[in-house]
Amino acid sequence: MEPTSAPSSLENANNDQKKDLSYKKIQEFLSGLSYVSDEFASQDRRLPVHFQTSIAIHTPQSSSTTQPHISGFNEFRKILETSIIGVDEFEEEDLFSQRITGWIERYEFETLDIISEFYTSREINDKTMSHILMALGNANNYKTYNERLMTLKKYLRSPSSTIRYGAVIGILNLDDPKAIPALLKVLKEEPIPIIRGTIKSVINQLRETERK
Amino acid sequence: MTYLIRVLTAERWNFEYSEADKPFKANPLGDLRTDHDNLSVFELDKKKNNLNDILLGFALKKYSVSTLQYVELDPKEISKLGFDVVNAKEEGNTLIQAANEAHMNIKIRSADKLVELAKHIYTKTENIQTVKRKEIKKLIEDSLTSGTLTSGDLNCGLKKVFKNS
Repeated sequence: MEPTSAPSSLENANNDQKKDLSYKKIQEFLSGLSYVSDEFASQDRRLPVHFQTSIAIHTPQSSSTTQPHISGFNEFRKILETSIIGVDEFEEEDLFSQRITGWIERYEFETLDIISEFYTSREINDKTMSHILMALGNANNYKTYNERLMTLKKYLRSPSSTIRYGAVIGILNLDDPKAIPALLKVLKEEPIPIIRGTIKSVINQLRETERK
Repeated sequence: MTYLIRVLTAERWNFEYSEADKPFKANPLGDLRTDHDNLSVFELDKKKNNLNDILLGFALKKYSVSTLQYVELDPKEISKLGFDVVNAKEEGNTLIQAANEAHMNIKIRSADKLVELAKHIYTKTENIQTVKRKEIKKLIEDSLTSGTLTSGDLNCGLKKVFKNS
């Protein structure tokens, strides 16, 4: 089946003044990306290792002889980066979270590997990574649970305060009291008041979860 | 003790500040938008009985459900800094009447005073309160179930989230 709408959504989004995208446009854009992702997934549900396999995506203009190729790797990066651009802080967490949790639930450990690889190689910026960490706590996938918890704990010690904040909110979303000792440790060293405050508030919430 | 609460976006306050060598950033002012020189806050009653109403009021202004953070300000400390705090029920513009009843204004006489208030709030972020995304979602779901809200009250973003509620 030839996807016809997804590439045009991507092209449109790239051409737009992204920061001025209205909520409606963002929604359209994200649904376009969703279409790409679904199509990508349907072509290889086993997920190529580290998305290195190139996946052919037809554009409306392309003929059977001149198909542009977008690698899965680049496509995932685009999703990560462009999902953030232009979305107001008040609105981004939920939309972005849905996209990331969807990928984790579908591709499990491979998604986590790719995220880690992207961040290590600075393919994604701190803000995007922070929102990914928040989303890690929302995924409904038992197999990757420990890995996600470990990842979140690891990033509590990031030199970037943006990343540390994302990790704290990710732990809140995971809602696992097992993370309390790690939070208590970093609380002592945290220099930024709002992050200290968030850590304390998350510890209180996790203690409440523990009591229930 | 009553508190005045104001929702904050953590990203805007995520920096180190010290009067000696680390300047106060401009970003926090993005969280302190004034209208007619008033900064909108909500008064939390002594037993925090109206907290859920206020949170619901905040949540319904957003286009999706996400973690919510707010800071609690002591009205006595605000007054000591030279700010007047006045009742402004009629200006409460949330969908929740009980939240609007708690609406108040902090009078901001100048940009300098706004910066002074921002610096005060910065020190209070150490005690910021965080509300889980799923709790916000539950608040809205419960209101829809109880009939306090109807789907017609939701904005287009929230309608999509709660289309099956």
